[in-house]
Formats: sequence, structure tokens, C-alpha cells
Amino acid sequence: MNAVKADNLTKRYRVYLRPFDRLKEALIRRPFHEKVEALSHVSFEVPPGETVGIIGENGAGKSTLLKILAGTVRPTQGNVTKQGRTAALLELGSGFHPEFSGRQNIYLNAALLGLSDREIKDREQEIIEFSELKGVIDRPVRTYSSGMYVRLGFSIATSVNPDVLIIDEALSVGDQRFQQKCIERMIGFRNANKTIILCSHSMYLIRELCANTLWLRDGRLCSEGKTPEVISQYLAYLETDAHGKSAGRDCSDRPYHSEITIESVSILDENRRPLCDIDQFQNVIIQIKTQRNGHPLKGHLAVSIGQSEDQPIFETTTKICGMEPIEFLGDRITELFIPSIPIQGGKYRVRAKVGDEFALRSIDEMRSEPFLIKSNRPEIGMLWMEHHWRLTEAP
Amino acid sequence: MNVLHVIRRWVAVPFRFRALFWGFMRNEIRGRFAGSIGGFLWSLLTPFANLLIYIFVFSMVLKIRLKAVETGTESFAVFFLAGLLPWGAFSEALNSASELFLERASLITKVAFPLEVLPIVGVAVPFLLHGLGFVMFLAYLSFKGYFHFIWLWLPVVVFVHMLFSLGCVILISSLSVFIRDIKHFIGTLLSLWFFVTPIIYPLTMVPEPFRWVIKFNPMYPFIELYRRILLQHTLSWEMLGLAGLLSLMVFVGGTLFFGRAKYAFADVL
Repeated sequence: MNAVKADNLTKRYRVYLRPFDRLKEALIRRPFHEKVEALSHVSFEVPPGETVGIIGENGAGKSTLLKILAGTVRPTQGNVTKQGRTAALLELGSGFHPEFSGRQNIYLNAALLGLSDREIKDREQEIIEFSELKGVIDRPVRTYSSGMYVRLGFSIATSVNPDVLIIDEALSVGDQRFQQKCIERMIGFRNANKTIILCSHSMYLIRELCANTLWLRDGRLCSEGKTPEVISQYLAYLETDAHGKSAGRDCSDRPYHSEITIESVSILDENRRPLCDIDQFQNVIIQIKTQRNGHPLKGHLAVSIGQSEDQPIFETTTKICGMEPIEFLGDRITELFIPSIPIQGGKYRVRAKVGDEFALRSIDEMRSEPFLIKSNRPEIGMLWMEHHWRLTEAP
Repeated sequence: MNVLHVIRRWVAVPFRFRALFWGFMRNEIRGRFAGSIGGFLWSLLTPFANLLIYIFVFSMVLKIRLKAVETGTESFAVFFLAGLLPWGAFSEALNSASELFLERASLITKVAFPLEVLPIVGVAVPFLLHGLGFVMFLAYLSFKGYFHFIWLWLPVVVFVHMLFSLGCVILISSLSVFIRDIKHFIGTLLSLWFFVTPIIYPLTMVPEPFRWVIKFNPMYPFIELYRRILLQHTLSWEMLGLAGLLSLMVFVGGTLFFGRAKYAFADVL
């Protein structure tokens, strides 16, 4: 049995330019709306005790999906089945009455989440303690800072002790320490074998909490699977989408008559087979084909790897490595060996440059096709580094 | 059968979702007085001032004279209050109905809870507050020697009256989600309605050719029921039947509409 099962969820919104159009449509029965498909044919299953992240750009349908899961919005098609008590934190502190005290607000808010009076009474103390608002709990909520507001909301919502917890970006407010507390509480939920569905823009949080992740793109389920993989795919997509450039060179950048031209930059495995996806720690060869017409010319080659051009993760040149200038003539193949590539998951490109013999003037350059590095490492960042922890007692 | 099911569901809401119902009730009642110094006093003072104005204008300036044979009392204040209190509860419920869902838009889109609670609370609160006034009024009447055992029928009348109000509130509140203009004319409608209902005048003062207009008024049977029980000590079965039928129709109509419309609320809000 699944804790949450979404079956072919589709949500179409009718967008009316003016409220009057809605009335007109109802009366004369001619459509006056545009249809917007916020979610189309999304299906997934969440077994009990699993923590699932939902990622995607703004407007990808994440909020719509969460609202449908929470039950405030009805899908146009498809259905959701849930097992056990569900609590949704789509917005913390929604429903707080600004004039009432924090304590008074606990009662209505917890009742909204489905607690009975007795349960609320039993948990009141715990809620106040977790929110750390003991001193101000009897003041009107309008005097609270936004952080205090959210703290109270989070404390109430999680005190419900739900079987399924649905959270939308709820932790983005509150100071570092309270955020940490919230994360700890959610880890507690996870360890207590509760089901959590978490939607966030924070890859850190998703990585920290979720074993599996769904990636929504334009209302569709673009990818689902183990969190590190889905996140790398998503980040890679963001990268290519932001730069929107294809491989190869920009014609305008290219000198009219290059003294040396780079014909191709390719990424190969040890056996010189082309690679599209690279596993982290695989041995990689970067192969650069150059051409020089006329008499021989000396120069140096540079190779950089990165996501954006101005900030390579790594760059090296033949000059830095202490090599004599290469003599270019006719077709030539130069290869750079990288044993056990330590770059973390994501989409990257290689840029090759050829320069003069002093490595001062750039003659030609070319970027490779983007390639994907797949990583199973849970660590965060761009590189995986050798590391270990050591605990020492304070003297 | 389907209709019975709907009614049962609605009636069960305050019990099934007890904490939620009382939570909203508390909030609503507290919310009226929160932040003001006078607090509960204002809820007594304002109607009382209105009452004095009406009594001054209609009883002293315009000199409306009541015949005890027709109305059961010669006191304008008693006659007026017997109609005003039930009307007040009804009109207050309707007045806030248009904002009932609209002002809680963020709550409705973000938290899944039985929306039925809102119209029920929207009716229960004004009935409760006016009920307090009504009880004081009953005490005063008893003191003046108006008490009669037929008063035991009052709870039935109040229930039917609440059902009617609930039906209206459900209709108006859910329609307002789609047609936001409603809140602008509901106030005007209510003040018009007040004057075509025999509250500040007895039906007998209305010229014969116009009486049918007033009898068509759905509030007329309710006001008449209250007055006859309180002051003339008679129960009009005809009126009770009419009122009951009317209430049932409005309530069922309202709940059926609500049942279809509620799924669209979160989309529209």
C-alpha cells in the first residue's frame, strides 16, 4: 500500500481576463476563457516512510501539485489517494488572526489541521516550547516578527504528528538556528517512518532530506528517481537553459583567418570511445583536433572545464605543465588525460584554446558539446575532495 | 434521498468538527471586540441607540398607534423589538455572507478543511449575539406579564429561521466568490428589505392594494410567527408551514449549489 498515490493528475485552470467573463460564460454558454494547463498527466507513488522532494522552476506546477495533494484544489483529471492523517504546510500561519494572541491562534490553527480540542490542549505546551515564543505567547500575533509568525505556524503544523506531511518551501523564513531545528524535526519524522513530500528550491534541503526526487517541468513529470541523479539533471538543464547556446563556436568570435584552427573538442573514455555521460571518478580523455595550413607555427593549448565560461572549475595549459610549445602543422591531435575525474554531478563543458608560443595571445577557441557527469556522492559542491573527520576533545 | 444526505452532512458539521467549529466561533466573537476598549459594550450600545432613534421617530414623531386587538400590545417598543431582534440576526448574517469566503481566500487555498463550517459559523454568531438580546427581551416581557406556554414553540421557530438564514448565507457566500459585485449591493438590498418587512409598522397600516407585496416577502412569515407567539400567544400553522417550506427550499437550493461550487472555490480565490 502506498502512502500517497497520484494517478494521472491534470489541472487546467480557466483564465478569465475579467470576472464578468465568467458570468457571461455561465449565462450565454460560450467560452470566454483561456485554458492554462498547470499540471498534465502526473503520476507517482510514494510508499510509506519515504521522503520525496519536488523540484522545478517557478511556474512548473509544483504549488498546484502540492495543493492537489493537500486537498485544497481539485484536479481536473486523475485522483490522489492518501493513507492516514495528512498535514500540509503550504503556507505557515495562514489563518492567524492578527488581533489574537499566539495562544488563542494555536487553537483555531490546530483545529484547522484536524486536531480535537483535547489533543490541542495536550500539545499546547509543546507547541509553545518548540516555537520558543514562551515570553510573547499571550501577545497579539500582529506584534510578532515574520520569523516568530512562521515559527508558531511550523510548531503547530508539525505538532499534528501526521502520517503524511506535505511541505512547500516552508522553511525559507526563520533564522539559521530555527531552520536547523525544523530540519531536525523533519528528520525525526523521517526516522519515525512518516511520509514527507517536500517542495523546495533549496537543493541542499532536498539532498539532506529526500531519498527520491520528482522534477516537474512545464507541468509534466520530467524525471524521477534517486535524488542526486535528478538534481544533477535538473541543474544541468538550468545551466543549458540559462546560457541557451549550442556547442561549437560563435561565428562572430572567430578570427577571420586563424593561423591555427581547432577542428573539434571531444570527450572520450580510456578506449577512445566518445562519451556523453561520464561517471564521476571515471578516466577521461579530452581530445583536441587542430589544423594548421602553411608553414609550422608554435603555440600552446589550454583546456578548461566548467559550467560557465568566466568561472572554470579547472583550467590547465601546456605551458603551465612545463611543456615546450607545440609545433602545429597540418592536422594534429592533442590529448589531455584526466584519471579519475573528481567533479560532482551536473552538466559541464570543456573549452579548448590555442594560443601563441608565449601563451599570451589567443588564436582560436572552441567549446565541446555539454556533457553530463553522474555522481552518487552525497556531498555538495562542484568537486569531490578526499576528506575525513576527526573529533578531538577540548583541552 | 440525496437531499436528506446533504442536510445530514450539514447538520453534522458542528459536531463532527467540534474543535474547528468552536474555534471559528470563538474567533468570530472575539474578533468583533478585539482591539477595542469598549469590547462587548459596543455590541449592546449600537443597537440600543438605533432602537431609541426608531422609537423616537416612529412612535413620537410619526405617532404610529398600535391597537392591542391587532398586535397584542400597545407599546411600540415591545412591538418593534419583537420584529427587530429576529430581523437583526438575519440581516447581520447576510451582511457578512458576501465576505465569508472571500476574506479567507488564503486560508481556503492553503488549508484543506470542511468549508461548510464557515456559513454555519456565519449564521450561528449573529443568532447567538441577538439571542442574548432576545433572552433579555423575553425576561422583560415576562416581567410585564406577557409570558405564555406557547413560547415553548419558539425554539422551533428559531430553528426554521436559522435554516432559512443558513440557506441564504450559503447561496450569497458561494455566489460572491464568482460575482464579486454582490457585496456592494447586499447592504442596499438589506435596508430596502427592512422597510418592506412589517417590522416598524403592523401589516394593518399598509394600504390594502400593497399588502400582497409584503406577503410575498420571504421574511414576513418569520416576523409574523415571532410576533404572534410572543405577543398574541397564537401559533399560525399556516405561517409555520410556509416558513418551513421556504426554509427547506432555500437551504436545499443553497447546499446543492454549494456542493457543486465548492470545488471551484480554490481555483477562483
